[in-house]
Amino acid sequence: MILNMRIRLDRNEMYKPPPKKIIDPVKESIEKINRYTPQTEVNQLIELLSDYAQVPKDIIILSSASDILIKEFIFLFSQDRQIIIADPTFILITNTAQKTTSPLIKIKLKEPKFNLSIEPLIDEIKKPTLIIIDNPNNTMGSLLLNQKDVSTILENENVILLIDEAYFEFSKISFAHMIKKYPNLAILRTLSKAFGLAGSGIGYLIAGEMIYKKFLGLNTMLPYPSVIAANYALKNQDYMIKYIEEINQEKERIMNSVSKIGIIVYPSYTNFLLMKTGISNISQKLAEQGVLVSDVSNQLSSEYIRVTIGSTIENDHFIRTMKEIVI
Amino acid sequence: MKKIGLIINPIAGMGGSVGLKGTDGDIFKKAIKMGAQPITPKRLNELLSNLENKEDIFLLVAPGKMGADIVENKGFKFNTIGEIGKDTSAEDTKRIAKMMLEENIDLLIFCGGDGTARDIFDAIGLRKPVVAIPSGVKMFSSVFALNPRAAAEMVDTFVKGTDTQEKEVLDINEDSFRKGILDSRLYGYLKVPNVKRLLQSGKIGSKINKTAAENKVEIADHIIENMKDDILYLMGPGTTVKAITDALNLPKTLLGIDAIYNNKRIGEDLNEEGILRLLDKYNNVEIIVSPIGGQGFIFGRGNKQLTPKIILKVGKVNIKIVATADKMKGLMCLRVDTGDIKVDDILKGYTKVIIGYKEELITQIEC
Repeated sequence: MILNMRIRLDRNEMYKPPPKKIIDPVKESIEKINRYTPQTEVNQLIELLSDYAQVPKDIIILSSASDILIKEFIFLFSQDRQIIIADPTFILITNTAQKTTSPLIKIKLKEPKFNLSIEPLIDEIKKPTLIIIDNPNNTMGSLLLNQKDVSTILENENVILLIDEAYFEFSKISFAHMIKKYPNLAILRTLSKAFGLAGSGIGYLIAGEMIYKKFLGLNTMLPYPSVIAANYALKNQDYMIKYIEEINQEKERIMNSVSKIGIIVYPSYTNFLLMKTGISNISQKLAEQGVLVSDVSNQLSSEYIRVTIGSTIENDHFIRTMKEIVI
Repeated sequence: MKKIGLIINPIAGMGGSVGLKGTDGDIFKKAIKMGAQPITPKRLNELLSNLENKEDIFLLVAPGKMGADIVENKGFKFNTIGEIGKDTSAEDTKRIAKMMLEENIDLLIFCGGDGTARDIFDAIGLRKPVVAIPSGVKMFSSVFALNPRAAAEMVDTFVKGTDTQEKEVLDINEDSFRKGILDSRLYGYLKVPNVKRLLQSGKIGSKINKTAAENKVEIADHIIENMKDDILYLMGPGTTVKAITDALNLPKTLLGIDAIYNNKRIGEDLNEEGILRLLDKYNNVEIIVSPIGGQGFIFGRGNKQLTPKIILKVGKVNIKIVATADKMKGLMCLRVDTGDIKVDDILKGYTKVIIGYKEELITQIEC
């Protein structure tokens, strides 16, 4: 029954499990959980990712969840460097940057487009700097970088640039091809979003030469079921492509529906939408109706919410609940 | 059971519908002639109907159209306090607010605009917290809730128990405002309940639990760590700047400009003349200012003593802006209105705001 249902639209997850052809081998791997993950499977994952990202396999660094890579990256490269991030940005980036002893500079993203100007960075990057930008931005869904800006930043050898491309499959924009030219660039990706493997937590870094060297010897053990899930997902990418098509259609439908009741919806290159509702503490009000969306009040005012695109039924329920609250 | 005072300004906001900017003074009579209708009853009704903790509240209400007429028959436990005549005035608001204070209320709800907020400030200052329902024409003071529903949530949060934070009350010159000129000064501060975001759903909801007061202390630590000897610091108005002088164990004029040199206050509540005299004597000078919440003015509102002449003499590079992260969250940009367009133009562009210890935000000074 739809009424009284509780739905989660707060974590930017795929709303359904991956297909059987991925789940079945994962189940089988669990029966061998007494063993460490075979290196052959890990090697295969690196090869599959190398094909998928079209980068050499020796510059790929695997990790159990991209969150760990973000933290390690910031701690490794923030020493003797100031940190520059967008504001808002993925909260883990902000929280980790705040825990370092390095000076932190945030660049405010402005409505209505929430885009990033690198103009104020030009002077800053003359000093040793670590820049971390999520592209698309995780809060707004907007694209913050273009090739020209990335080149301008990277021409400065004092700078290390980490681009979080967690939503690359939705935006279809990547800077991974620039790694060869710029040793001070790194790209962070995940299989948690478009591939729907949030629970398995496989993240990977495509690292420029300067960066790759620092990560040598820091390999982490990856859980066997996670590696199997990743390998089979990469061998069966058709489901991911279909999911993105479906999400894009639903995104359009939600935008049209809620715009009619006066809610401002911002263009998004991800599997979520940022909305300005004009109602304070809106995430709390939705939660009281069983609809969990992301409370972004620590970054924007409490009238904003970030809503993951769910199934058609979930999205209908969200739209209906929003209408009940607004009207 | 919380004892909560309630006062509404029955004429607040009436000028808006007939194109008059405010109802201060005789303008109210003009608004009536032009067919203006009271709007505060509707705003108060909206608050009352959204209150969830009705049972835990005892209202002490101003009489007649200043509150009691609207509260009646709504199922609230209440008493009226004070007397009013046919026409109400700012004096009624002030007198009744003081009477409520004597009755030891826990919180005061008021409904009005900037003028009403000033009256409440005059009457109770920081002695009791308030919830301000916006219904005036001019509401530049950041003390106001977003809307009556949000105000109801603030009351409920207060009843359940929360701390408070200080918010600005601005004094807007209505005559200038009618001519399209926004001429305001910082009038004072009122305490409002601190509405915490209780929901924790998903990664992005994870919080760095920092109150405004803690944030101000961090900012003060950053500033003090970077303070140098033999530099004259001109300290602007507001609580964020005051947190710096508090940390230095120095007194501070909350709404004025003070001067600090080598850890001593050498100027108090300075006007332009006083500041210029200091600038003749001291070569190395820095200005520390904080934007006005809600508007984002760093010059031209609340600190007019810092004239274009002074700003030019000190130089853009020697201006430090401080603000809590929460205040900056609500500002799209910073603004200047020094009274000299050329100086405004010099100040415009990207600037850094100190928002924490070793933490800065790059934003634009735009307008």
